Amino acid sequence: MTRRLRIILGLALAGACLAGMVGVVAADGSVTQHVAARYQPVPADTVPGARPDSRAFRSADPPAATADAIAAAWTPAERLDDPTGVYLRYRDVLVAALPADGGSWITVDRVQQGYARYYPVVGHRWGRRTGFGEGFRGGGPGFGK
Amino acid sequence: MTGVRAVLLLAGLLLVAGPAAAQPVFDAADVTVVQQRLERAAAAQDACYGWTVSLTDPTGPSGVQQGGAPGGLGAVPDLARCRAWALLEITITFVPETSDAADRATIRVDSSAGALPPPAGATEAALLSDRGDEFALAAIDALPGLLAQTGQAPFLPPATSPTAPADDPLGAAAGSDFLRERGGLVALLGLGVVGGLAWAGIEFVRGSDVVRSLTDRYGLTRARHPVELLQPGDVVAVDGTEWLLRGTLAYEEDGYRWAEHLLDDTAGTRRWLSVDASEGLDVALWETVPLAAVTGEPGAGQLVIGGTGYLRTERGRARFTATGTTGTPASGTCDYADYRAISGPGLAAAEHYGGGWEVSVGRTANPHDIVVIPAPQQE
Repeated sequence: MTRRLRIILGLALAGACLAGMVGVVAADGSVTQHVAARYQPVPADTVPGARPDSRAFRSADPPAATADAIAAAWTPAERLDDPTGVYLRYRDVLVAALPADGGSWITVDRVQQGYARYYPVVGHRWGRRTGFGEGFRGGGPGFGK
Repeated sequence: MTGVRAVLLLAGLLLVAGPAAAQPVFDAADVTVVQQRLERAAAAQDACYGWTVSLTDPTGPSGVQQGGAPGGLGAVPDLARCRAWALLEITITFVPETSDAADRATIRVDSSAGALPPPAGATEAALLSDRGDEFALAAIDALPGLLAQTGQAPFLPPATSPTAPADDPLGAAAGSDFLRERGGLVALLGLGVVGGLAWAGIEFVRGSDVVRSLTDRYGLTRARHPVELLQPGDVVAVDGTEWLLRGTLAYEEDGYRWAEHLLDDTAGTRRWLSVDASEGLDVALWETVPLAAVTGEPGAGQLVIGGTGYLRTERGRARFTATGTTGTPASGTCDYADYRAISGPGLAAAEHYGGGWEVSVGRTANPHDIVVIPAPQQE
């Protein structure tokens, strides 16, 4: 391989990666856009507890499968599997997949409003990092306290 | 009598030591909250839940904690009497830091309809992390949801509220969704940009005239081996044979330079000595072979010469300048292809100076085994 070819290859690698970065950043998107593009919208008040900014969608899959698909596209910060449904926490929104006739309702709420809406489920369970111990090693919680 | 007393005392000590193994594993307040939720779900779903967490830790107290619904903390309920049930078993084993074995965590979920996949997030790494207790509690917490998802227990109606209490706001920010999802890819691509630019930059500077002019200006020339300074008239001793250097071909391609020297001995035998100092000091001794001994088109991807197979390693076109006797024009361009034997250390080369292909076979030579006797300086 000649020197000129190596220079061209190096520049091509850098250029391709730069183009990839621009593409990834430009295609940014969000979990809200992802849900809106893939699921059929329904009136927000179809699902109990709707807020003015709430959005709702219909999925043919049950809650766990629906939540799995959404989480595969956009990894949530936290996930909660509850008998009332599956709850995904993102920075700006709370996405819930709730059971409905074999399929599910998907609700998308701004995160603070979603937290208030689903407080009976997610309250005391999310964002309580400081309330827990420091793992099991070296005695863990419950020991020596 | 003394002996019997000692045995009784030892047995008593063992009994005292025994219950320590049943120490609780979780923080009492944390596990109580999870346990209450489990019991509410069990009642609403008409299902049973049980869990066992075993901790073995040589640097701290080990313990086993159990719980379930119905029944509460302390015992796993009799699941066989339940219509639908799920049982979670977690074992966490830390080893001493002096041990070669790795820390281990296992998680198993059994149910009235067979084994279930572990709850999302409850991985071995998570359970061994410094938030392990939190992940274990979350796994217990997820049991009613898992059972509903498999259809063994009913889903419960959504529970909503008008507001969240002011004294329990949503805690720590969840971090950027974009970085969580695409951060690794962006970092990898960034590494590619930096790496590609660095590679191109190094190749550009290396062997370019910039380096040569700087080294010339500041006298930064490195010490040179005598074979790098060969010129016509020198005598070269290789492997005990003395050769007279007849002529030199100096090559240049994209800033890379190397040389080939034509040698002959008193019997008229001819060899070429190639010297390439661009990456270390590569020296090889070459012998031209008749084209009739070559199978394959010179310059092609592979050649067979005298029964030995060779694969092409490099191909290009270089400018050359001749001094002394070389059998080539005084200057011009040369197409070349370098080959390496498929097995063994052999080398081959094909060169085209305009007249036709010339093929040589060669072997590398250690520069330090070569003795150079410079030609007498002519005034």
